[in-house]
Amino acid sequence: MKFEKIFIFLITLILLLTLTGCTGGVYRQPDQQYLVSGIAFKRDKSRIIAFAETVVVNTESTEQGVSRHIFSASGNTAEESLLNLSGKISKPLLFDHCGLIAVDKDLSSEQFSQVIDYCKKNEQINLAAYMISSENTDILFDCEPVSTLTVSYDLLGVIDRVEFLNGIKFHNRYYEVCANKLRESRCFFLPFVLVNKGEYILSGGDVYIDNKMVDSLELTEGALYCLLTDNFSDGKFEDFEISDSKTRFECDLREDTLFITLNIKADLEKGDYAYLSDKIERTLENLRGNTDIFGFKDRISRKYRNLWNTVKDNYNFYYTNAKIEVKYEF
Amino acid sequence: MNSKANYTLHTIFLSAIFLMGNAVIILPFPSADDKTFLGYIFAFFVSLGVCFLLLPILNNLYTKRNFKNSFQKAIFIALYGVTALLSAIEAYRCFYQYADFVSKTVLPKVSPILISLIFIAIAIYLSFRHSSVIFKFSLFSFVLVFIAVAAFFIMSYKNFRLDNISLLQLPTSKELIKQTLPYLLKVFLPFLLVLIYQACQFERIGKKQTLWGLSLGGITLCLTLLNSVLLFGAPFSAGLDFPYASAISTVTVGYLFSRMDGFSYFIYFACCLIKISVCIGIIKSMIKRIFG
Amino acid sequence: MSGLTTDYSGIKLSVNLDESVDIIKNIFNKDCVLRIRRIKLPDGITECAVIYLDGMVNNEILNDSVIRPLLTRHEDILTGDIADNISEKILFVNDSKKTDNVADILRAVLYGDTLLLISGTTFALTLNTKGWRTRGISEPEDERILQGPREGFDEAALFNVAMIRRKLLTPDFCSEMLRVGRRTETVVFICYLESLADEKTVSELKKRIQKIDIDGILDTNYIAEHIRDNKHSLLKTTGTTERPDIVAARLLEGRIAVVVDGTPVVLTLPYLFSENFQSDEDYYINFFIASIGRILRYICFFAAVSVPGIFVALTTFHKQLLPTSFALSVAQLRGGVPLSSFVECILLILVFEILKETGLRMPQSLGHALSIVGGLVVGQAAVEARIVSAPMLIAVALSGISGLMIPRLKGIVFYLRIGLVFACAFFGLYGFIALSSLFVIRVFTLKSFGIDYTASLKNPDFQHLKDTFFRAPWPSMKTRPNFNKNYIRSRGDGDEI
Repeated sequence: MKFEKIFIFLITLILLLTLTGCTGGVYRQPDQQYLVSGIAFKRDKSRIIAFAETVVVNTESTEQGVSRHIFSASGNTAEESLLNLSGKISKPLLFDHCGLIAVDKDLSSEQFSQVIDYCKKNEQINLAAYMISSENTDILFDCEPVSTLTVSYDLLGVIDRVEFLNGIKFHNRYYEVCANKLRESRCFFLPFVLVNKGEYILSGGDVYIDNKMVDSLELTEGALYCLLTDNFSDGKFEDFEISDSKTRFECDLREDTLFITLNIKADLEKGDYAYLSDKIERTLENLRGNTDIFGFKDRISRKYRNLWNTVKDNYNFYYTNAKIEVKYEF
Repeated sequence: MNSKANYTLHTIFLSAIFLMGNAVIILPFPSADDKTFLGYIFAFFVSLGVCFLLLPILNNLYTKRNFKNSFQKAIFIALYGVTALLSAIEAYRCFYQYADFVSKTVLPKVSPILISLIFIAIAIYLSFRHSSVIFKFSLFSFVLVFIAVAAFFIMSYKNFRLDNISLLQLPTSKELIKQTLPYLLKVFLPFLLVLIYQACQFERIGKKQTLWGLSLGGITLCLTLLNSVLLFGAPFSAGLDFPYASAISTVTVGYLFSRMDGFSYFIYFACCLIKISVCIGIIKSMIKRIFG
Repeated sequence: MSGLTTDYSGIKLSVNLDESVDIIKNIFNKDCVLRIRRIKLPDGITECAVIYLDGMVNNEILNDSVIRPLLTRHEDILTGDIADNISEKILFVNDSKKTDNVADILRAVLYGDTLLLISGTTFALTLNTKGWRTRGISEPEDERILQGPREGFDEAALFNVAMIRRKLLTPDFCSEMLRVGRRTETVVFICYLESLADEKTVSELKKRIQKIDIDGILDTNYIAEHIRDNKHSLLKTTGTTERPDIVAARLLEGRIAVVVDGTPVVLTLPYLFSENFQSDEDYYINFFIASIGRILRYICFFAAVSVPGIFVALTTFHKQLLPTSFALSVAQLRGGVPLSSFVECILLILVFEILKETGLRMPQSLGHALSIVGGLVVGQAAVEARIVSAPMLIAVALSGISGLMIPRLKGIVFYLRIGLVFACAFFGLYGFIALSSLFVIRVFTLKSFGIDYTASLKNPDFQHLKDTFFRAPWPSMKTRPNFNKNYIRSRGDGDEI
């Protein structure tokens, strides 16, 4: 009993002697920081310019309330540019509520990697932050927010809305992008936001492979792309309304040729079946190219291990010469 | 004055939460790939078999006995010493991983020594209470932990990608061993310590407690593993410092609730605290047997 | 040990009435309420002195049952023992004791009995004429219910025991009397049902009470703090109530009641942690409604102790855990407040406690003024002056109001709330979890008279949990709490389960 009391007393004393948190030096109250709602990165030759859209609380007067400020700074790397940005302002930045990470289409592969690495290193940035692609990252945050405090939060809602209405599953959250980068295909699909006359528009999506943008698709094309890659949920695009879609992937290697069959099964609630299948075929032909942007690599490596062991060393050759057939069950 | 308590349920929950211990912080291991789930399942069944095979031997070795001669006594003292050492190593490992989590995620700018002191103090306090306190604390904690884990699993369901775990493609034996071995050695093997703890407390190890404890703990741990792997994919989650906490941080409920990784602080605290307290309890018992 | 401060063992009564009267007069020489009435019996030989303390006796009983018969009844009292004859043939009182022990005589007179000194014998009679004024039966202020009995104890222990006995019409009901306190000689009754209570607990309780060495016992709490297992614990391990129905219900569960003279508060033990969340009304209303109330109390306890601390932790350390819109709202409303969240929180908690205590003790006529001061000054002016922020005020107010739902835990709620605020201010949610765990471990460690404070968690099945987080319907409440394996567990046919 005596030992217990001494023990408890000592522990209490140590704790009291090391006051933290309340001193205000390290941990701050929410009104003592700038809340970052979104960050954007633009290429400036070999440098990166970082933009931060912040919410500032006016502590002098409650009438003015909160206001939005955009800060920018450049640096040799993404981390350096954000550090320089923090150095320019009077209060520290709070990244915990950063919902949007916008990358410029022209970012090099290495610069894109830097952005990804910085976001991972900065543990404040939530893994569920949305990533988008844009060619106007420098003026993206200059637009006027419509329904929320900031353009970043607006865009989150817009992306969700497009996914809900058009059925496109971008899988563009930061952790999804990172996870896709670690797959065989290293392919991911980011929403593309265009800025026109002070207004932002989600006009489609950009396909990236190995951190480089390889193709830009409009919304309809994006929806068809998602159908082909089994990333389509219930939605409408053009004159079509599709629900319960599922795309089964089958692959075979015969006489040194890959035979890929995509079985698209869905309920076509509205629209002409022949017209839709025609559009799908044309999208496939347009996008096919010499690079596997559909991520068939992943499918083969997961489902057909032996076949993958055969083709993996020379996959581009097999892909270029592959026969891809689409079957429909509408 | 009290009527005799039935600690079967408490022991089951204690065993389950002990199994989770520090494993819930670090799973999946850095070597994980999409076969990791199969490796875990295989490791679980292997350990089930091993536990039941070793049960009578452990019962025999760790229940109180009178030594026939000094040679036998020396052997047992050596055994108890080794057991105490292994418990200490396991406790240290658990403590280190938990302290690492707290200093990196929960309180990044606070002195890790202070965090460690507090945690050790509570663990020692718990382990020096009557054993019924640990059992009741396990009962109380496991219920909350299980509810939290199950709830997060259900809430994350809509973001799961089933192709992150390969169920249809059976792994080769080399791949299976590579995925199974870390689970066996670092997660399921230390489970034997809680069986030893049972032997020290009750003078016998119950089969029912072993089976259910291992199963419940295995299932709950499996849910946390699946939560990370199905969400992030095995390679990405294996590269994260604290995969399960990161997985919980992505869960959103409506527009109001997001970043609920605060719950992972409690889950990790409870699991690690109980594991370390049990290890300290084993060390105490072994020291008593060596010197008593 | 208890006893009168002076040793009266050397003093003996005399056969001479005057000498005996002088002995008593000398003992009470500074007490002006002592009354002595000399009476000559009709036989012409025997004289008596009726001695009592004015205000402690029932004058009607005294006049009609003692003095009148002494003056008017003609009986042969000289044959045999004169004291016995007077007691058996003349007096009309319902209880009389013959004694020559001066200490016993003094205890009796001090407790409201009348002393009858008789010439020609060294023995005296103490007659039951107790008639001190009491408050009467009224509903306890702190234990009001909407449905159920509304009787409450008053300050007379004898009447309180009678009220309990009225609920338990069984000869199994035992009440043992002790006197505690060197100067006050306070009467204490230990009540229990013999077939249900653990005899070891009863004897342990008696031993602990008899060990109390104090000059006066004025309230049950004096005894409670002496006899409890953990003298320095914040959590109470003895129950209190002012209602006879509650005492009866607890006795039926195998507990023991301690009734102290001079206070309406009765102690019951053993006491479990889950009882803090029970309301007296739970057993008189529908089990669904009672269960909702009970669950609400658990939630309120959690809210009362946690909300301010968690708020401080989230706004200082873990801003990422706040929903974005809420974080912005907090930031905006906090803007310009010079104090940190921690200091703000402590200040508000203290103000709330001051308002609460003041409200309890001030005259009712000033109640309105207090509400205005509390509401306007603290609620509005302080927020507008940016001394405190609205979110913190809401958090503390919510916590304060939740705390009022569980009056039995009001002390521990305050300390725990402050402790958690400190822990969260220093270590964020880690501190919160650490201190909460310590508290839970402490609760699991405590015992109340050898019974685990959380006994229902020892065997977590329906029969043990049926009256903890919820209240099972009465047909399912078949068994008593398991304090003693030897006694009858079943509430029904008496067969042991």
